[in-house]
This record gives sequence, structure tokens and C-alpha cells, in this order.
Amino acid sequence: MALAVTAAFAVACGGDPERGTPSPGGSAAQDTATGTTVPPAPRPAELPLDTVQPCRLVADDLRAAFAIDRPDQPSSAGPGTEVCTLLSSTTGSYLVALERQAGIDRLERPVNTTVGGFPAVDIRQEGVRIGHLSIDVADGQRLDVEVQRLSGDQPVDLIHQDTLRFAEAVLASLRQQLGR
Amino acid sequence: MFNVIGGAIGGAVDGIGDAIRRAVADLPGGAVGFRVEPDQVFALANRFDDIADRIQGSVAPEIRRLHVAPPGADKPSRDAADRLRDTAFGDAGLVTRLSAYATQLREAAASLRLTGQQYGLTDTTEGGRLSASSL
Repeated sequence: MALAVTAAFAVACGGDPERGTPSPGGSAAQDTATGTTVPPAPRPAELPLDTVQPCRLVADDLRAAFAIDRPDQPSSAGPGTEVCTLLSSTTGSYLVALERQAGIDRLERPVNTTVGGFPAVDIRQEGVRIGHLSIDVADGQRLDVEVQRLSGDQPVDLIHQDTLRFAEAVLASLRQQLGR
Repeated sequence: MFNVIGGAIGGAVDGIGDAIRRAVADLPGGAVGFRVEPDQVFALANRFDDIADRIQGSVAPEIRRLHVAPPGADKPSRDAADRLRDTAFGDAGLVTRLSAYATQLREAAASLRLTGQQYGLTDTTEGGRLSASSL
């Protein structure tokens, strides 16, 4: 006996830096209201990424909160870059990237927000339904968090809210692991 | 529509994935129906999820690289970046289509599991353990 299954395929074609006074690595943001330049806030702590594993920054409770239910997909994106893509079979993907040889200054974009008190760059592009935050965690190093949704139904603002929530949790995990 | 029926389905799971990919590539819309041996329902669902994992796991890091690339300062560079963004993220963009494909694979996997449960089958596969742990 065989079971008949119909699935709808609608559109598919197809070293530890010393503690001290942490300083931000990004460029200053332009205040669009006043036209003045706002210097980025200092980092609350130095969080070197040298010994950190990206997949281990996402604890079980966080996985449950974001419906992450598939095996982790670790990868490398070049020298000094380690990536972990965490997948949800129902919502999409959550990416944690450790850039150990490129700080947020390398993005050539103004620091325009903070995550957990750390200077960060929120990259948004018109028509792109992706949440992205690059967090200035140490001199010449940054933590990237990105949320991509499978469905096009979720409002973009909600994607950015989820991205911030996920980034804050990952950053908290990083601080806990480093004891800072 | 295409049907896959037969006792040798277990060994043909990879082939089913390929066949569905081809079918999906050929059909810009519509439904794909297939028949599955009961003892292979959950294995096929796992296979669909595995393919979706690989798509998402490969695409997401590339999207990040594209997304964070520094903006060009000159107009030709900006125009090129806009074009690249449309090619990737527009309605017909590759990222959009791959995401849609991954979504449909997930939905197909969920449909298979639901069908199996409706027939009183028990999922003893690793995929079943993953699904149960996510509930």
C-alpha cells in the first residue's frame, strides 16, 4: 500500500586584549536631525572572540524561544571568520558570525544603534527582509547577528525586533562565557 | 503531477529529492503529488528537511556577506549594488526563490509527517526525535 501525499509547490523555481577602557571601533554617526556628528558610545567591556565558538553562544533556552529545531550549520567565511547558521523548520534562519579580523569600522557605515550597551551597526536595505546587527565587541573584532525569514508574511519591523532580541541574548551569552 | 510508487522507494529517496527539485524547477506554480510507501514516509520527510537545511545553511552565510558589503562611494558602484540587490532579493531574486523553495520543502515534510500520523504510523527516525524535541 502506498500513501498519497500532495504538497503544494506554489512558486518555487527553481589573545586576550587587556581590560581597560574599551573604545569603540566604528565611525561616528551623523545625527540627521541636527547635522552634528555623534561619537559612538564606548564599549561596556572588551569581549575578545578568539576562543569563542559561535554555535555555543546559543543556549538551549534561546533555541526553544526562537523555535530553532534543526541541526546547526557551522561554516567558515574566510580567514578569521567563523559562522554558525541555526535553523528553524518553521520560521527561518538565525546566523551568528564571529569576525575576528574585522571590526565594525570595516563596514564603512556609521554606528547607528547599541545592543546591550555596545555600539552597533544596524544594516537595513530597502526591499530586503533581513535583520542584521554588527556589534562592536573588541578592537578589530565584531559579532554579527542576522535573522532571515522563510516566509514573506512577517512585517519587517517584527523581523528587526526579533533580530535585536536574538542579538541581545547572544551578546549576554558571550559576556557570560567570558565572565565579563 | 507525478507519482512515485513502489517497494524500492527507500533506496530511491535521493532520487525523489532530485525528481521533486526538477519538477519544482519545471513548474512555476501548482501542486506536486506523490505516493510513498508507509515505511518511508518519515524518511522522506527527513530528506526534505535535510535538503532545506542545506539550502538555508549555504545561502544564509552568503546573504550576510552580500548584505554587509561596504557601500560604494561612486554612482556606478551604487548602481551595481542596487542591481545586485534586486537580483538577489527582488521578487524574482535568487534568494527569494531559494527561500520559497526551502519553505515548500518544510511544508512538504510537515505534510508527510501529518499524513503518517493520520495513518497511525510512529516516527522512530532521528528527524522524529528532532521534531518532538521542538514541540
